[in-house]
Parts: sequence; structure tokens; C-alpha cells
Amino acid sequence: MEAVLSVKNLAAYFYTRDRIVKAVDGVSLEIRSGTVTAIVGESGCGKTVTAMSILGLLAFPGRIVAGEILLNGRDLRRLTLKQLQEVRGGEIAMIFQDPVNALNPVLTVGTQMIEAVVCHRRAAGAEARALVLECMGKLGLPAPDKMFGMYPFQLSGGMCQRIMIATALSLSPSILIADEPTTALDVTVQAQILDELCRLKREFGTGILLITHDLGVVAEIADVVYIMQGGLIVESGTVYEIFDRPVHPYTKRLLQSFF
Amino acid sequence: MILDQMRGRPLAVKISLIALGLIIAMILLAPLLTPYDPITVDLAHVFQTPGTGHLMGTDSVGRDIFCRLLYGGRVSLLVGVLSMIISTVFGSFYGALSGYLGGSLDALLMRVADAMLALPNMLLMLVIQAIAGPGVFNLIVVIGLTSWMQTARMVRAEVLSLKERDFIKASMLLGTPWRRIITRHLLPHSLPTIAVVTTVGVGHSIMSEASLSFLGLGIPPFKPSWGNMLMGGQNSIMMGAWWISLFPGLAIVMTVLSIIYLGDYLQLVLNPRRIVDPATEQRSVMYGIGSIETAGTGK
Repeated sequence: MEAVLSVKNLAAYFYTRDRIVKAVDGVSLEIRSGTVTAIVGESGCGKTVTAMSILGLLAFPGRIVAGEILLNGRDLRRLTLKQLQEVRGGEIAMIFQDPVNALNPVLTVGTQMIEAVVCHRRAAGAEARALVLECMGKLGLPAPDKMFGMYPFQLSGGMCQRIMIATALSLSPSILIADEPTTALDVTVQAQILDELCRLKREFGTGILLITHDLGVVAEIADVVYIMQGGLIVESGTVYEIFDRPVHPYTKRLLQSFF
Repeated sequence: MILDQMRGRPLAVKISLIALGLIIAMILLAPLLTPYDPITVDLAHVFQTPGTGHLMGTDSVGRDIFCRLLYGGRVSLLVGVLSMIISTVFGSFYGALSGYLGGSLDALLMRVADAMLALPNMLLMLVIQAIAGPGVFNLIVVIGLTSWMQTARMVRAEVLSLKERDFIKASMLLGTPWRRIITRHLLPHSLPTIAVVTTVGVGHSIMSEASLSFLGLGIPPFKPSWGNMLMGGQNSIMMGAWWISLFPGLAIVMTVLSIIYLGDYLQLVLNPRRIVDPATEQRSVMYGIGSIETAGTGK
């Protein structure tokens, strides 16, 4: 199958006053539709920077210095801001580690979901509301009608994460980047969220880029795994290859620390 | 209904509200409250002491001080409020834009603001006013255009910290256009800051109006405003006619103080995070809001 998103030799450096921090230094990876691709590595190895670079949202003083980010053959680095805004959310959506903070605390969740739908001109007015409610229903949120008018602080972390996923779903992106989506949640909720992600991949063919340091989560849902260390991909393969026959010493140690 | 609203508010807020309400009401009802004309000269009754006939006395050309105070208040408050609206709107967007865009554009925008801050404000106003000429409209624009920097800096600082919050990043990642992020997410969250800077600013711009008029560059002297009434009285103080300057001075002090107290309090009431944030809730109790509901719903 053809890769929806392929990153080639991506390098992103941070230019600080006294040195250049090479957060990502030549990373290549591919994401196919209907699969879960995981990037695994310790804190600070460049996982999140990779994700942010893909969406062109690297914060100052970070800069992409080299590489190609091809979405269906289109290089995202060459897009104008306007085109990029279409891609963000519309074709590549992202969910965060801390779902409660990822929602604006002073707007109701419904307002925020509709905002996304309207910004991407997927629907407007009553139609947008219906679409949002439908997506909330699909993610198993109880009583979408009621939840629509609630504020983020009235919901639990798991519900907020589902709202985030529902928002992404309402825009039907081809890629969903999940940056440690379950780290802030407790284990039972974690399992439910992982189920939802799996369903997303199965039913809608969404390609999921899972960023995590939790090998348990990887074993659970990932198809393809990239092991990252110090801004480099040190090993990659299917989840079976990585878990059964790790080659790189770092991968071996990672697995040892886990089991 | 208004009394219900007042219950449980801090004393300073009550007094400020009453004082400001009274001042505004008197200014609006000026023709009903005084039989005199603010401009007509009456040389038969110059330097009348406060008391019978002339509540606050008359000035050096026999105009009733109380009457001029009321009509002058219209000009002073109009200038104060309108110039602050100009400066707040401009400053907020300028600051939000600068903070949101970041990088070299931010640096450029802020250096421009710094440069304007570095010039003495009075000098800037004098120069522009001298070019534009006197008049209420010019005065409003001049004060508005020379006082937005503080707002811009404050809003920028607020935006810089908000920008790092996940929900702003999330809406960027959802492809929300930047204009919408600024107006919908960043500015509403900066509202408490903006409210405070603005209310303090209204006080400042009333004083700017006073200073400019005092220097003879604001409102033409024959038209009353609190500032040029102050100026008009300065020569007379030596002659013992203290009342000519005292009353407009008092009016300025009362208005500015009331506005500043209200602004301080407004920060608490307007804060959109107030209900969510337990720390702030604690503070609103300290300030004496009876319950969160009374302050929040505005019933």
C-alpha cells in the first residue's frame, strides 16, 4: 500500500544563543492509511518535534533545516500558510497528552467543535451541529446533546480526550497524530481511548501516528514501530519484528526496561 | 435591582459607583440643574465666592463654575472614554498580533512601541496636537494614538503565555485561521488585563486632556473642560480665588479614582477563568463578592 504521509530526512534544529540543538537529525518515516505507526523513545528524543515539524508548527527558535514532508506526494514545506491551515485539522489532525488543557476553558465543547467544522467549511449552522453530535455519538460519548453545552472542566479527562478525537473525526482527516494520548489518563480509560483509536483506523481508514514512550500501548495497537533516540531513528520494523527480534542495543535496553 | 447588585460589594466599589453615577447623571442633566450658560461672560459678577446664587462661585469673567463644571464634564469624559476606546482597540490588536506572530515581526512591532514609549508622552501629544490643531475630535485621536503602547505591551505579554497553552496549540493544529485564534481565543482570555489597563487608562486620558488644555493646546479656552478650567483658575489662586481651580480639580480626582477602583474590581468580575480557577475564587471571596453566581450571571 502507498504511504499517505512520508517524511524524508527531516532535520529540525533549535538555534539557541550558545549552541544549535539538533532535536531531529535526519528522520525518515512513512504512515500508511489504516495502520498505526508508533514512534517510541525516551523524553527529549525528538518525537514531538517530529510531529510539530510535520504540521509546520515548530516554535521559535526551532527551524526545519532539511527534509521533505510529503502528504499524498505534496511537500508540506512548500505550502503557503493558507494551504497549510487547510491541511492542519483537515488532512492531519492531532490530539494531545493532556486533553483537559487542550480545550479552551471558557468556551463550551460544542462551540469549539463547531468552530473546527466551520473553519474547514465542512458544514455550517444546523448541519454543523448535527455533524458534531454525530461524531460525539460515534465515540460513545453519553448524551451528546447535553455534553454539547458543557465546559471542559465539567468533563473528565477521558471524555475530553474523546471530544478531541471526535473533533478530529468530524474533519475526517487522513492522518491523526496522537501525542501521548493516554499518558494523563488512568488505565481503564486508557484502554477505552486506545479502542477508539483502533476503531478510527479500522472504520475510517485513518492513518495514526502514535507518539509514546509506553511500550505497552505500542504492543497493544501499533502495526509499525520506529524507535527514536537522540533525534535519530535507530530501528524500525513491524511491531512483531521489534518485539521479537530487536537488533539495536537501545531497542534491546528499552524492551528490557519494560519487561 | 441595582441595590441587589450592590449588596456585598466592597465599600470602595460602592462609593465609586455612586460617585461616578452621580457625576454622569449630573453631566447629562446639566441644562436642568443650572440656569446659567457655560460660555456667556457676565462682567457684573466676577469672582463671586461659592454660596448663594452661584453654588461654586464664578470665575474671572463671571461665568458660573458649577455650570461650567457640568458642561466641561461632557467634554472631559467624552475625550477620556473615546480616546481610551481607540487606544484599547488598537493596543490590544497590536499586542496580540505581535505576541502571536513572534519572531522578527514581534521584535519590529515592539521596537516601534518602545520607541513611542521612550518619547515623553506629553511632547508627542504636543507636537501632534500642534500640527492637527485644537478641537475635541483631534484631541481624542491624539490621546488615543499616544497611549496604546502600555495596552499593547500588557496584551502581548498575556498572549505570549497563552500561546504556550495547549488549547491554543490545539486550535492552531486544527487549522483555525490566526485571525480567529486572536479574536476568539487570545483576546477573550486577555480581557481581565485589558479591562484593568483600560480603566486606568481612562483616568490617564482624562488627565492628559486636562494637561493639554492646561497648556492651552486642547479644548479652546472659552469652551469648558475640566482641564482648561484648572488652567483658567491658576492666576486667580494668588488673588485668593481658590474655588475656580479647586472644583474642577476635585471633579478630576473623584472621577479618575472612581474609575480606577471600578477597573480594579472589574478585573475580578470579568475574568473568564474565575469560576474555574479555585485560586481566583478564593480571591473573589476575599474581595467580598457574596457568591460566585451573583457576580457571574449579572442578574
